[in-house]
Amino acid sequence: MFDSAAVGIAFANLVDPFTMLMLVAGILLGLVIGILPGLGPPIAIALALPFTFYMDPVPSLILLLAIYNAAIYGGSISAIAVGIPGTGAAIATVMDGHAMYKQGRGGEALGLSLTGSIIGGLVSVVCLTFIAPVLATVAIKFGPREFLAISVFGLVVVVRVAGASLAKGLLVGGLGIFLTTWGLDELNGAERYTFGTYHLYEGIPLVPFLVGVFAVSEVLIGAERALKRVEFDVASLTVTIPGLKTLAKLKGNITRSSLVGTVIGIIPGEGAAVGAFFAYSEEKRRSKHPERFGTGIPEGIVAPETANNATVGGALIPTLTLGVPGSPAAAVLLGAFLIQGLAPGPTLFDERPDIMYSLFLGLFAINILLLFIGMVAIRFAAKLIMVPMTVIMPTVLLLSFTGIYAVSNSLFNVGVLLGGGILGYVVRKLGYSIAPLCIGFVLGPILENSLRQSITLADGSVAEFFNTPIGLGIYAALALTLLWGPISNRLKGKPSGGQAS
Amino acid sequence: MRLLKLAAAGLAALGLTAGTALAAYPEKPITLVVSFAAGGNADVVARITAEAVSAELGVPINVVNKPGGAHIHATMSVVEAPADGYTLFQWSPPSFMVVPLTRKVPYSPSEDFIPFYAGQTASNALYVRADSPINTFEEFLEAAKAEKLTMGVNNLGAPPNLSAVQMASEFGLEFKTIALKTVPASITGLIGGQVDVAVGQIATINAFKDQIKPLIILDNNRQPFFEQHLPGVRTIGEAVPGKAAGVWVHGGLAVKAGTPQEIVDKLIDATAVLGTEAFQATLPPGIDYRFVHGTEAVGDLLQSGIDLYSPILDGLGLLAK
Repeated sequence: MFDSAAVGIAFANLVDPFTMLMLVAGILLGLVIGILPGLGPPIAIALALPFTFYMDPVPSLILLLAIYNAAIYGGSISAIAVGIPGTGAAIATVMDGHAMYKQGRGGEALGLSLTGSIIGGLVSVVCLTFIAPVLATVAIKFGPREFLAISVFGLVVVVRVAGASLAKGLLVGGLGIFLTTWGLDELNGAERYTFGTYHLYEGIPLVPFLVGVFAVSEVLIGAERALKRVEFDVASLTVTIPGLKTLAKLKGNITRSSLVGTVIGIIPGEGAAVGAFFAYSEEKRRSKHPERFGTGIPEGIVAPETANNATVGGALIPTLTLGVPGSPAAAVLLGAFLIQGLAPGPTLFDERPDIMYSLFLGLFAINILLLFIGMVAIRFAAKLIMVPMTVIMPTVLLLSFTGIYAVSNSLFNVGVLLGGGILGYVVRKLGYSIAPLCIGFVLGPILENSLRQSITLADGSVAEFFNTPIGLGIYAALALTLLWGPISNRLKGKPSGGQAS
Repeated sequence: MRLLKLAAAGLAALGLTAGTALAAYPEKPITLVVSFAAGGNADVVARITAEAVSAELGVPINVVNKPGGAHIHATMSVVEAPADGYTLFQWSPPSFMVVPLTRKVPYSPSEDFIPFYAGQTASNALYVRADSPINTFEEFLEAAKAEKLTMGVNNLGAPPNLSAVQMASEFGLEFKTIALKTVPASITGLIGGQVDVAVGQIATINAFKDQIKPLIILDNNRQPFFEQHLPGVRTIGEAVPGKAAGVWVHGGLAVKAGTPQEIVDKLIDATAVLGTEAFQATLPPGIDYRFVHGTEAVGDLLQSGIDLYSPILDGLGLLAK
């Protein structure tokens, strides 16, 4: 199966000084962009894309992959240290990560997130290297009916876990879905809530909206209360990488989250944010003390952070083997391949095994170097707490505004950023959680499209609508997830009512 | 009196700037507006084009991506910029054809722009899985008449869908049409069994040689690159004389209407390089190319698209009235 000559060439490609330089530069650039709210992995890769014009395929792809990995990890640094996710992938990390930071265990939280990210990244690369073709054949079985099942599953499970109460979570999740119906109806061209402006033809843009909901609302909330300086002792500023004992305790969590992230990454269109939420909700569901999630516990950081980096390797599986990007960032990567005269797809493996092996080896190297560079970076991040919030908050706001404008060259998107911020502020002031809003907004388009296409496919037949073994499996898992708590309580003879979700 | 002076000064200023602009154009970097996000096929081609033209003009051409808003935001940004040749527009089927035909848009491709070059092109083909019992276009027609087949396209209203719609109406067929977002996604949907037939581009075959087989080319005009990708495959008109199923996919460059003729001429001269084989060799695989040059030829090309798509979109009830 392995072409040893190609592996040799790949190794030689990788130890080239320029490639190594690109690898380190990519990690640094990715970290910075990941930390900044509003600039996520797709944007980070797009920014670097023009520079790859003049490079050979291997260094240019290594540069972009390093950016991709580091940006997803970088988002967790701001999520933990400021409470604002630097990327959508880190939304789930805010809950426990920032809570832990505020308790004076910031260094520990940052260390957990780094370790989880690296392990998740490495596991997904192993999956990519060894079983990509097999996994890709499963991914192509996902059609409208399967996507419908997975988005229903995602919405219910995630909303149930992310919010304080199921009813409130569903309400806000529904609001998120409603907002995704704005824009042109893709199936018949009807204008829905476009308010006479063509800017809304393609709906509310995702990134400005999510950054608004998180970053701007956080600034607004922060602005209205007296910002008191929290006193931290030296220990809370010291970064600690979890020891073997802690890792052994978290080993089930890390394994499951790595696999969840890889699988979600493989499914086209589902990005790192969804993977992180799935892993978080799965760990919360399995936990013996789910009520402690959100209060700042290691499990709540490790699960989403392991999973979101695991989506990188996962997303590359359909990208490289089918030419279908597994995530928005992978879609931009596809462009980089085209620039290099490489067409990702089933034939690339046979034609350029040297390039494929260079990428696999490169991904290992990226994850390992990210550990060391990340350790330096979080030492600075841990000290962020020394900077008064009155300085951090306006800086975050300024960066969000410039970032959003720079990427789209559109003032309208800056308006969306503000609007999202006000909406997020209102939602939080009313005592609702914004995480279900975001999940609704991310999954809404997939839900609507897959539902309507499933109806087209079924052509009036209910049996045909549910003629999907994979989909039925997902529905069964959903039923089990929802009913398992009450059933097991009944079996144990405990009263089933009154438990907090 | 004061007003007169001001007007005179204004005129002088205008004359002066226009004069120097003409003499020295281009004397500063040019912006090329692309209505697609960075990294996609359209963006990649725009960047390679910009590089080649920039070498001819001697100034940098900076690509600016303005995605979203059904391409109208990007198009309008060019209309709102001065007509001085320093803002170019990378036009494409959505911005210059499908969107203006189906929406009320605040611009007119023919009145607000001077298109002077077209390059990137594509033609469509109908594919089935390699192991499908359908082997020929004739067998496909029989199968499609016997039961409603599931048809995979990238987006409703996009060229592959319009080709399929025209074919369906020519032969009286009905399909369950599923939009899968991108052409590679339609093809993997086909391989994965989500759809029975799919419309992809002619060059799509190269990435999926062993998994799919072509039935027919959905284009009325035979192009040289057909034989390169799909040797021996017929077009609809060649298989069934008298029947048609066309496609219009072209992309190129335009400046705002009102740009001085001298500047347009300079741009036309500079883009001649895009007709050379040396330039075309730098394009990524899977990009088909048909060099059309000069305002008149490109205007005719755009008109042929309007003539092809207007009746199809009208039949779907999508034509903007």
